[in-house]
Amino acid sequence: MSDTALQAARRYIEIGRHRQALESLSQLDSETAATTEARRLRGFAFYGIEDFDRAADEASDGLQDDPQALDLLYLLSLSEERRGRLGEAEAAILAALEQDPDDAELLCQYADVLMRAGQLDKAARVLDAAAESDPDSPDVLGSRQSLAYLRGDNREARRLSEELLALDPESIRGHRMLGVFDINRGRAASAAERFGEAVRQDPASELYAADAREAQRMARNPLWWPTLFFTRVGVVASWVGAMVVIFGLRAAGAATAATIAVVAWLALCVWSWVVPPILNRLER
Amino acid sequence: MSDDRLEGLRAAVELSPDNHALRLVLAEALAAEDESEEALEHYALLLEQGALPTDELVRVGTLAIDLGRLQLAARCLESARRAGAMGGTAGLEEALKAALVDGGIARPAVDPDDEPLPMVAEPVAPEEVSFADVGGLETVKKAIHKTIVLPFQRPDLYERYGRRAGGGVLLYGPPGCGKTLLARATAGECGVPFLNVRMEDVLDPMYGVSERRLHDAFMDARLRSPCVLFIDELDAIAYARRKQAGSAGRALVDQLLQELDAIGSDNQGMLVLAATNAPWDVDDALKRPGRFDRVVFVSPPDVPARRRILELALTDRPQADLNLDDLAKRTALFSGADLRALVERAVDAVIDEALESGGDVPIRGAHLDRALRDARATTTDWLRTARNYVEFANHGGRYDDVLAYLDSAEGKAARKR
Repeated sequence: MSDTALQAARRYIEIGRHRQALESLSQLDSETAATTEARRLRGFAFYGIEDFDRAADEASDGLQDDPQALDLLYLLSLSEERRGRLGEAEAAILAALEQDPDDAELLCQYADVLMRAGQLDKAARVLDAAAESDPDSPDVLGSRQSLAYLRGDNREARRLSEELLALDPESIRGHRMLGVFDINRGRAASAAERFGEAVRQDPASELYAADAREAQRMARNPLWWPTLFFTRVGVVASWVGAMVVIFGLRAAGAATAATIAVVAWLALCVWSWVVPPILNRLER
Repeated sequence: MSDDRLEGLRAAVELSPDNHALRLVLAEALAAEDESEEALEHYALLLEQGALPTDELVRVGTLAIDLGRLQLAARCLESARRAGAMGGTAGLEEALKAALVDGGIARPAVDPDDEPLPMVAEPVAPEEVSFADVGGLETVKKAIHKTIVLPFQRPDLYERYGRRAGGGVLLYGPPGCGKTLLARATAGECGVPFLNVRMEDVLDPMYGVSERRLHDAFMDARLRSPCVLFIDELDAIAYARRKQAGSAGRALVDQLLQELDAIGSDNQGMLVLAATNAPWDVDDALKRPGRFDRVVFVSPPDVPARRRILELALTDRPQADLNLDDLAKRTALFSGADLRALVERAVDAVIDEALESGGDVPIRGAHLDRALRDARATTTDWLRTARNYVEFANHGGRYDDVLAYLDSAEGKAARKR
């Protein structure tokens, strides 16, 4: 019975059914439930349902029996990071790396902790080591993409996202990053598709669905379009363009046309300041 | 061979149970020494682990027939066919059929030109649950009756138009809404046995064993045809290959595809039903025509269905002044399992009261009302996930039924929760 329940739990975790995994694990006899393997599975299941406190507890308990267990050290680091305890997360992942310094997945987790702590240069060095160890790892590309984004290097982040999707067309991380770039450039329809793809991969995530819905509503409602125009062209560029047109028309002697352009421009500006908050309120 | 050498080999195999070559040497040595039973145990283990050489399959199959291990012989025959073994498979098949006829578990062939008759394993009683035992779900029951039950009951009509009975149907919907019961009732309506395959029956950490078990389940069903083979939690067995990192899960999907396509076998008369809470996670190849091409949404029960479920749950229990119509209206989105749990909770309170008062206390509306105050519909999470999926990924309209449900009054209520 316990073997079957463990096997079922393993499978449920593999396919992301963490609550069902916990249900299976609750059927274990007390002896099996206290094994390192059961703790490992319970820990990952708790992590999957975002109960990071209990995930960390399971990992810590398991490490008391087997202090060298790599999976548990990795889980502990992940859970502590999500709890915001970055010192503990770093200590756990360093203990894991001591045993396997070339593991790309462990190195990526270390880099993620460093990024969260704002140590971007150190994270870059760690990711270089990870890339050397496993150049085709989607984990490495995903972390490098996040690092580029945090550094404000959007061009590089975009390139890495595209590379990531070429390697793994289902990558949620890649689709979401490109969705963010699209929305920042006023391309709401394209962003809705990107975020929608993330929902397709993980329909249970309310976060992904909320992003997709937001982008979709901006793409479908014409009242948003003037705002998207500003976003797409950029504030500075649109002001410079408007001034060139207005003063160009005046210089050419088309005073009426220039006045119309001024009125239109001011209307557009007022629209973009006033309408989005109203739409946000009405549509939510 | 000396006994000492046999003992030595046994000890060596015990020490290195994963050394297939050593186990094969031991099995051959045992067979040579007429220790056939023990030899067969080792051969069976090697076969299960996919480590029995192809050229040994026919010989082992024959030995299995001699010792009356007909299931093992059938597996050897299947493996030999799949491995493309050229010599001896026809003879093995003949011997196996003859053994089945001799044992009274197969019908003898009448005409050698006929299609080989299905071998029949020990009979399983036809399912007794029927649609009458399923509360509500009238639309789903009608759809299943038309597409599944009728072809079984009127094969002549369907044959005339070139339609075959059988095929695959995928039932999906929130947990606890009666998918398994519906599958069982479908078998009951068809008057055929119901064979249930659960994830736990199939999965094994050892490489190749899960596929073997799945194959055995199909073989068993073919031997018992006509029957309903029900695969529960299809998404766990056939999780989309594009989302799987390891190769083991992919191999299992490949195996299931082979079984559904009946490569090297015949699925005539066998109806494969499957259930899942996450149809979007089932490998797309399984949803193509000829496999699980009929997809049926099993929604949370509607008001009449909930009333019927409550009625069934309260049958044979002392009760007084119950307004089940009202309760059914107030339990929107409750699954069948939720409603049964609600009744159980009310019954617990009644028992407490009976213990305190020392007399007979019937279940009253107030007990159910109190239980309802603490109860929550468990289908809302599923419906939220389903809404996300159909909103952004319902390409081809596969989940239009879910969309229609979400647009209904009860579906809209789910959005607000």
